[in-house]
Amino acid sequence: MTRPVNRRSFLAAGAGLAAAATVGGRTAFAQGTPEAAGAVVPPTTDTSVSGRIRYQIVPSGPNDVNVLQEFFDTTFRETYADLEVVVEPAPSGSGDPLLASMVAGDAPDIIDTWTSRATPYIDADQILDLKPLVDRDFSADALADFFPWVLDAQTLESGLQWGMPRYVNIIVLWYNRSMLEDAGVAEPDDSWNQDTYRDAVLALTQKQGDRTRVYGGHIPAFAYNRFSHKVEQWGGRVVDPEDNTLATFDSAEGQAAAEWHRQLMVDEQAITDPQFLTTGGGTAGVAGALANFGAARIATVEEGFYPFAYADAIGENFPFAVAPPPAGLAGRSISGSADGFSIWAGTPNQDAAWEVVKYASGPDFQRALVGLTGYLPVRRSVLPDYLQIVSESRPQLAEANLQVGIDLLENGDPHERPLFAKDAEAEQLIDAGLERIFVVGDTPVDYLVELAAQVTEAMRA
Amino acid sequence: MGHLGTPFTASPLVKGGRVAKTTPYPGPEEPRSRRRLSQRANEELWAYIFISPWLIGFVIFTAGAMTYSLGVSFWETNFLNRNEFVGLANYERMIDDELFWKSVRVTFLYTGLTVPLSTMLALGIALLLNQKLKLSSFLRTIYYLPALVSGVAVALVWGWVLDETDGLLNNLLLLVGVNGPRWLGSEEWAVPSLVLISLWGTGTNMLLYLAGLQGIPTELKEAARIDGAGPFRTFFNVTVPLLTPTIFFNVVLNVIGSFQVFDQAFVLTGGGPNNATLTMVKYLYQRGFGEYGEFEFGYASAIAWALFAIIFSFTIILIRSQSRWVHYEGGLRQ
Repeated sequence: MTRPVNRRSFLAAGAGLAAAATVGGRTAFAQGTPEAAGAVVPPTTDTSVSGRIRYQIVPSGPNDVNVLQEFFDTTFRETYADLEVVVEPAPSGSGDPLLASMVAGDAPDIIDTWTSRATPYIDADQILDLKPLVDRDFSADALADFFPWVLDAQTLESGLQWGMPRYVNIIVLWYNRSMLEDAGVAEPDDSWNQDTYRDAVLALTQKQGDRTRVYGGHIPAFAYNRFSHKVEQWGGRVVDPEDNTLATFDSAEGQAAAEWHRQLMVDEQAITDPQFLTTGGGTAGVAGALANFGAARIATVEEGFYPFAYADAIGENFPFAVAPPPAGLAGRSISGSADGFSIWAGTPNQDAAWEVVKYASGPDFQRALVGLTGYLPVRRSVLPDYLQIVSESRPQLAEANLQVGIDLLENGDPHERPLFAKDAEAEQLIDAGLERIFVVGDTPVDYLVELAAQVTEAMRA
Repeated sequence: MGHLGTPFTASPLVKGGRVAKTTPYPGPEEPRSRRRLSQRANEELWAYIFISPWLIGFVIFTAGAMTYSLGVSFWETNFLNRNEFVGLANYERMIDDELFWKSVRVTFLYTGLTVPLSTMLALGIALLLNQKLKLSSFLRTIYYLPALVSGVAVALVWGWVLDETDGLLNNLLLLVGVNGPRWLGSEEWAVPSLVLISLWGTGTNMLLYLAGLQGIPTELKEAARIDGAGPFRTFFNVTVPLLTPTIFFNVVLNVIGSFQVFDQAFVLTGGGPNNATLTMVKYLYQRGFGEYGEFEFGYASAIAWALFAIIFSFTIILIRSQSRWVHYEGGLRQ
């Protein structure tokens, strides 16, 4: 039943942008958010720029490069007649060749990034600060179409803006409806908390002897960027908001959050550990979880909002849907992030690259990107059309309750985790420590006290 | 008949039956550039021309890169905006770096298990395949095939075999009532799992042993039998000594290769769990291109040179030990 996005459907979605941005778009816009009662105010542009821009994307699927290339060759050229954009895929393990190309002075002009990917390149002065350009070309009204937290997520504490928003990701709970029904577990909803969640995960776990054959859940608390939200859900913080060198995840709340997950992961073996996900050559991240969820080896998955990826991985194997992530002791902390378009600081054609980035973060391209990937758009004005675009491309998603993603985006207070002073170094230390607790399993959660002290010392060194 | 030339005796160069001493006619003077090389020099020239692609590649991409990395190891650099000469600081840093020493221990454990087990297994298979069997050619091919498969592909296949939940091995063990371990997921079994995977690709060693076995003169074995030696004594007193040059060669290559193990740890375990499979090459890669964007190329280069020193030392030790255990028939050892 899946209908992969092809060039025609992508271009059709893209073609709608003209209408959306002018006449029809105003109607949809008005239905969306109160702030968007008027037309979308565009930024100042210079459509006379010319040249050739290389744009390296992180593909979400096999068709992305070709479909985007055609979009830039046709729809985009209607606005920027003399500007050629060449789309190229980021190779697997793309950090190495990207660094090499930067050293060689031959990096792509525009790259898809996110905070942790951009940070090392920012430290190496390779990412252009977009803040002055945004201030120059975007009025307050023009910025109003973006979700404020999404724009904030593109900006470091220093004020450097490393990107313009590309798409929004929100952590949600994907679940296999058949497995829940078979286990007599009610479908998750807004009322689920840590107790409901734990009971469900245990009920869904299937064992053979001591070995887990089907995991009740996938909750990657072993990764710091996800553990940090768990600490918040239990009422703690990972870093002192007044002092970003002080690690505070060792609080009683932090330890309680860790213990809840440790019991399920180590003692009960009811939620996956990264080794399970990597076995067979998978990855501990989204791909590993997705592959195992699609193979019905995991019943529920707390992961990003990638509807097309889930639809394609599952096919017609079983019905599935999405729910808000269950709350912790202190409530719900929605992990949200926004990937961005970054400009390489060494680009020989900065003006042209900036024009492309402005266009790509605009409603036209965003609408087309939704049709290609199913990602949540960064523009409020595109959101009202989201469900329709997505279900046209993947009909089975019409029953997947994707409205949850929209609701969380608008009302769930999604946010990125707070950053340490030397965040990459802190993340490395914390990930290694969490591995001892959750993966090796021979370390009690009070080890977090020692770990927090190590991190603080490293931050202040 | 054609003209056969002037009769010898009639030659003006012959006087009294002897060839007269004359100054050879130098011929027309050739330009210096067209002067002919001696045959030996000519052959040498062509030899260098033919090996020049490899030689140039070695000088630029191996020797040149090694020299460059030695220089880099004295710097703190990300090749972009951080370039500071730090002298021996990167080497000093290793002393207090727990992860470095962990990677050394993991690498030694892996090498310590892989080299002897691989040697024994390959020799054992070679001995079996050295028998006169109908399917010996087919079996040799089968045992050699894994050696042709790329390391990443092997790792992926074995990842499935060793899957703790649905893996082939644990399911087989379950049939005989054994609950298999978490092969790649536990600190105890992770390195043995990587060793197990490496043993699967021992076909090249097996082939070399087989060649060595077939090069042993049968008359020596027959003589041993006539002298009353049984199969075991023949094997240990005739076959093994004559095979020691092959064993030596294989061991040296295996030691070098095992110290450089990377792909299995990179693909299957990412160095985990808890750095249990963090080999030295994996660690230096991590410092250089790590997932946290370390870009510490100076330190990574220093680790690479530490690894080089270890491999070089072991190779020297092995070469020096030859005189004690390697038997070269005819004393041809240099």
